[in-house]
Amino acid sequence: MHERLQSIVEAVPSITDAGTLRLFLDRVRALYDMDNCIYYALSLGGPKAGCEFGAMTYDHAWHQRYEDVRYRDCDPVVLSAVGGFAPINWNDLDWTGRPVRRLLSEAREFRVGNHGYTIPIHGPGGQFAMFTVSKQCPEGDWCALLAESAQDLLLIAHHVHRHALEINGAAEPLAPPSLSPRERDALALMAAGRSRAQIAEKLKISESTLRVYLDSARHKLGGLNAFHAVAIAVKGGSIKI
Amino acid sequence: MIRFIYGNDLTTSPLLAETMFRDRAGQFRTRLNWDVRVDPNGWERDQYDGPDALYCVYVLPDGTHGGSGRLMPTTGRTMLNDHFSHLMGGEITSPLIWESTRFCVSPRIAGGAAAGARISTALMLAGCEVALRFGLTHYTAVFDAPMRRIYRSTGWAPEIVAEDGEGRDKLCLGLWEVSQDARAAILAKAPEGLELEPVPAPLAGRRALAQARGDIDRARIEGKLRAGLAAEAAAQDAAADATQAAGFAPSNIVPMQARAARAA
Repeated sequence: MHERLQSIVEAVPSITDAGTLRLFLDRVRALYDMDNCIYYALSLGGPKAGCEFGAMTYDHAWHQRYEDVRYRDCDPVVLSAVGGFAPINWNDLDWTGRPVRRLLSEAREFRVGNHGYTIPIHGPGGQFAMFTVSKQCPEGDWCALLAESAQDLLLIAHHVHRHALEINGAAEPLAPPSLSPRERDALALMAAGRSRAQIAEKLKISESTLRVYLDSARHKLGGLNAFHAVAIAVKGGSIKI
Repeated sequence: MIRFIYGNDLTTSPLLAETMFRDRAGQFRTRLNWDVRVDPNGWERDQYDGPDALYCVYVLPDGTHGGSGRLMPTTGRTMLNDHFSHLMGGEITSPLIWESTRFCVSPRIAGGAAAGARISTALMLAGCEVALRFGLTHYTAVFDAPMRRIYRSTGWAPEIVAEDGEGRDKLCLGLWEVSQDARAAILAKAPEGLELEPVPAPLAGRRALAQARGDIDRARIEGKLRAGLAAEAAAQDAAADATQAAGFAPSNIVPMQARAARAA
């Protein structure tokens, strides 16, 4: 895992409330060379369906203004994120229409940034959250920045969301993870100190496929990275060493 | 031309949707004799043809469907996890891994195998573009053994990680690694002059939500506008026009389907 992503992901457990979330987002913003970073859950799902939780690096006055005018009702980013799971480049949205143009010009005054990228997260029980980064920069710079950060941002978004559910008591009770035999083998070999190349050779798969097993196992176990997933699996008895 | 359409937005392209679902019936039931459901209209649709599915569609010059594939994240419901998890002995779930299903080339196309290969290659390129754009590492798919040769010929071969059965009916679970190298390999085989629309943001959520919310919120916003913000709004509109003219990015790109939606 990339060093930058590693350090961010390891900071996820430091989030305990909106205040520490804000500090976390500041860090993402700095490390990924963005102007702003936001995580906002519009619904935590299940029994917490009506509850919102989040933080942002925007100017507080902008958030206030946004809520006062209820921009979320016409914000193309929100409306697009509600409709799907695919990450949204703000450039691809329809920014026409009077209220939307007003939103855009005010956002500019508050230095939101002329480019943005929003990752919608939908989960069971109506969970819905958005993870956003934005920046003021020329289009070419933005495309280059996004190309190198999109994958990390996708992972960070899902990590933060899972953690947000946990600290708000909205996480689904974790069923014992149903690791596939291949995932278990991969974790067990990793626990035994084998390198990825050795594991791939032993399992007669490519390192690319090994990455699928490890990432799927990591996601099921709620691990921050492959090593953390190994630790959780050992502790939970999924694998023996 | 390749278009990317979310399930929600299919209604804005009725001819394309109609011919796609009919071609799928032709491919999966008539030709491959799969146990799929075909509705009275002759459409093959299943539970995964939901509002969130992302379709990569090869559009023929007459505006009908030439081929397509359906993409979904493995963090939601997938065909692999719901029906074929025995292949792996468990599920595959990760935000970095998406599933591809219903890979289909229209049985109506002229030009035989060569035309089919061109469309398959274009669809693989489309899938690779989506993955690079979203930051995915892999696709997964379950397919019949004869598809292996087709996938290989597109320049982007999957790694087969599990198999079940024998001969032509053998089921394969394949993984594709997403990379710039993969993209370059497909590009080398892709038809010249192939046009790929940009991957759009879903729009229908916006329409559906606006409708569901009824006129209450709209009335409130419009009421506010009338009640004193009108002048301010007009001034800001003028300012927005000015920024738009100056090339302020978010507003100077209007996606194709937005134009279509407005025209409809």
